[in-house]
Amino acid sequence: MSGRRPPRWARRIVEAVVGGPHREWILGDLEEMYAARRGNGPPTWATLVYLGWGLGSGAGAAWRSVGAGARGDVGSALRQLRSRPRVYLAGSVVLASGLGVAVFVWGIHHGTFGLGLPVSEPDRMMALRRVEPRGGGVHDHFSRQDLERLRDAPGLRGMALWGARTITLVDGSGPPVRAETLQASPAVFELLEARAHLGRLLLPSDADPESPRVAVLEHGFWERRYEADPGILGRTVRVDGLPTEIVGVLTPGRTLLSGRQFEQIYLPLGERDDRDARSYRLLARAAPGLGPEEVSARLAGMGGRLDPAVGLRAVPFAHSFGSWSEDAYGRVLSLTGALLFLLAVANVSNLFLVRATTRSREMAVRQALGAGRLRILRQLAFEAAVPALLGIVGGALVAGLALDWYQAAEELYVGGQLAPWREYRLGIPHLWLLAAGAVASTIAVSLVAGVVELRRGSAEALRGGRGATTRFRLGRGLVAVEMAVGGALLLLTALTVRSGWNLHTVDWGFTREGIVTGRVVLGASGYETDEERIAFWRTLEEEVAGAPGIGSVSLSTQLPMIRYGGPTWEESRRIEIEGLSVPLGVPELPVHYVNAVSPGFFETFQSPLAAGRGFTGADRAGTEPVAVVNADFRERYFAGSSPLGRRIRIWLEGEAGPWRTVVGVAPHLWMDSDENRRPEGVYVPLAQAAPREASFAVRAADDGPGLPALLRETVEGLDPGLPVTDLMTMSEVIRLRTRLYRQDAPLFISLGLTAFLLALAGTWVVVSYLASRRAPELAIRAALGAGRGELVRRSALSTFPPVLAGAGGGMILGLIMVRGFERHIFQVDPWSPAMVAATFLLLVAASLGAGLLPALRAARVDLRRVLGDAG
Amino acid sequence: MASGRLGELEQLLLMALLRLDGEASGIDLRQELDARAGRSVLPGAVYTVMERMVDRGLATSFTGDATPERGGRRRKYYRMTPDGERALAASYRQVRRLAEGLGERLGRLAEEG
Repeated sequence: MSGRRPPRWARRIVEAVVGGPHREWILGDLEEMYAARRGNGPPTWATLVYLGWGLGSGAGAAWRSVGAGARGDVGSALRQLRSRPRVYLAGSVVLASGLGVAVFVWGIHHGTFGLGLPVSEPDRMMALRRVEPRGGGVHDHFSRQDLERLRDAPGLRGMALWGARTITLVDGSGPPVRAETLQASPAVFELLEARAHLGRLLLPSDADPESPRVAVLEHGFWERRYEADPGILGRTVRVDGLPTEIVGVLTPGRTLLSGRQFEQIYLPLGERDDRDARSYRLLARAAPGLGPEEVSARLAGMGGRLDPAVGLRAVPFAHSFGSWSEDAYGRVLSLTGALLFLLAVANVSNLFLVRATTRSREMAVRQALGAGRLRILRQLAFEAAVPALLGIVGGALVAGLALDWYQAAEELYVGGQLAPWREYRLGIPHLWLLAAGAVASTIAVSLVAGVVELRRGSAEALRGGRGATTRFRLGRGLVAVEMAVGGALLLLTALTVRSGWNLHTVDWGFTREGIVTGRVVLGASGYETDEERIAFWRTLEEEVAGAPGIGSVSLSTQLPMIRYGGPTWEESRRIEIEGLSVPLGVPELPVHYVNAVSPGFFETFQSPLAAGRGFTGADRAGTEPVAVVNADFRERYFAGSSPLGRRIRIWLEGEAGPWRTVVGVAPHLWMDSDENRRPEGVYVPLAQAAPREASFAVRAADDGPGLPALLRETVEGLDPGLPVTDLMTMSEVIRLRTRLYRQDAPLFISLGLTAFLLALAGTWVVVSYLASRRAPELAIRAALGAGRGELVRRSALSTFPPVLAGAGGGMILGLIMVRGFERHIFQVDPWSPAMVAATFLLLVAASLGAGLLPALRAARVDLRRVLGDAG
Repeated sequence: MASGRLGELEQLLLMALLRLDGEASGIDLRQELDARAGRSVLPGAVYTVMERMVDRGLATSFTGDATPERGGRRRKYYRMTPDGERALAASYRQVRRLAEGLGERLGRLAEEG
């Protein structure tokens, strides 16, 4: 029945506002009414009605609890709303959009980066990090020995090591597969309060070398792979070739580490595993009442147990998944939300400033009739609060519906594979915080404007005197703030648009249509010698090439746009160029990508060499070692001369390979994937490298569904224990690799445009306001012979200084935010002066344009009417 | 023994309770009021008024079982007491006496309204 319940975000809102002694009954009634209304129809209308009744219930209780005086003020405020609906509704809409967008963006941020663990006290879960001496950086790699040394660390109530790796699973339930495993010390299950759905969880004794190898399955994997077979317990499968017994299945709906960590199988970590390998991360539960700072303080000096001068730091576990770039992007997202809210508040403040001006006479009359200042100010506060409250309700609706939409869009985007814990929730604390800020700021601005009017005194106001310099300054200051915020977000939008354009027009340097790719890993056991591996790859290539309909085939350790291997792999490939590299030792040699490819590689990708020749069947083990460098490598190291005939040497894990003669120059083929920061690279013949894993690329007349099956069968025919993974077309590869650039682009473009429009609206309001204040001056100037052009210029340029200052500040703010944004824009220089200048000019020109309309109106002044009004 | 007169919403709710055989949940009362009298009230108002009548001895209350439709929450039921019946009857008598001889005019006004 949970599908018949209102969306969680709506429930959170209603549960937050409904209070009193009958709360539980009211909430129950509201849900029952929702379920009855929803029937089989679309849920949106039922949700809106549910929200309406819920908010009404909350408001009803609040109404009953306020005094008669306040009710009178609310009534007066509602009358104002009816008499000037456009002003108040405009304020409400602007506030609703700013607040809604801020809560929405923070909801995305929380769902993406602020993931908590599903345990009873998630705040106590910490990740430990090593702080290396002498600026060596912060790492989270620990060994089993490190865990033993830290066992009695103060401030902690339990620790566990964990690491993720991919294994080959052979289980008789289909072809062999590559599966994601979480290998962890068995204490992790207790730390994370995990329970078994079937069988049992891992025990400390499971990690003993004498014990049989056992594994526990993640519930979803058990359902998909084994069709929820309850007889799975006791079945023996092969994990990387080793017999392993399945002893349990985890409870549904959760995995152990609720980050962006896919877990399918859990394996014990213990005595069997290398004691010194720093390949794991350390999870710890803090003692009750201790936060990361307190735990870090207690761990001071403990790092010395691991290595001299090493420090230890505790961070919230939820934050430990994000890389620097993700953290920074998260900060940009949060800041964007906050800025949009600020922009909306600035806009509404402007509206209230203008509104206060138009009511100066009314206030003066009331004061003259005996109303006290406090009474008038209280009424102003209520009048400001009403649109603020409407804006809050609207904002909650905007945020809730937008988060629903975003979650649905992402689920659609990833094909329903969204992890169960990844939920974009409406943050009620955020909503309350912003609501309080919105109410407080609108009331404060309204009161400031009111106080200014009251200080002028009734006589002056009734005479029509002008002198509200405070409001002039405030209004201009708000324009500067709006321009700064709008400018910063517009700059991010411009970068996103440019990124999208680049993605649309990029030359990939190869023909992607008609190519299917896949990867084969020879596994931890078997194929021990170079000859065995070379023979396997050669046979595989020949078998696939011999199948009907196949145009060309290639095998390579890397594919264009895909980088296999982590930092360790990258660090191990250092290139020495004969006659060029300064002999400072291996650590000083440059690191570049090396791709071992079969002879058909460049032909399969239809990417002809720029110079020299590619590899042939004659380039095999025992013949002269050769290499092909790419065009970027040539540019960097051989600018102005030909690299052909020159020699290079590849260092692998501190050992020098043979000198290789450069025989060709390949085009740029995205060796550094989509990031393309280090595009220089080297190709070597596959037969001279004998890798343990390789990807194939097959060009066929028909790349339909039959081709993947053919490739699987071919590999299975050669070795039934080998899985084929990552089977996809080259177009899919590119779509996957560029997903990051497209995923949030619509979000940032719409946020930036919203900010832009709000900033322009702010300028429009302030120019209108200033023009109305200067009407007598303009009328006198007109009477004295000033032309219409001059009057327009005087009005339109009244906000020029704050626009310039604000737009300049916005560019600086934007450039600061860009730091967290770089990874999300494709092939764009975020620091490009041209881009910044264009954005700045667009912003200034548009804001001047926005002020033009009220300026034109102000220039049509009639001296008699204006002076008559004033008098 | 109950004291005091019935307010308008109290009268309507007791009448709705009588129509529902003297025993109904808060949400049933609200729906009955909506369906029969065209009077849409907030759920909170129903409970506030009914609890006041419970305090005055005009009704008693008890809780039902939790249901999934209510998000795992229980329903609250009300049952009319003899005092409640007497209060409703007295109120109805008042209205009837006051309306005596006005049947035709009231009928016409109701049609016009």
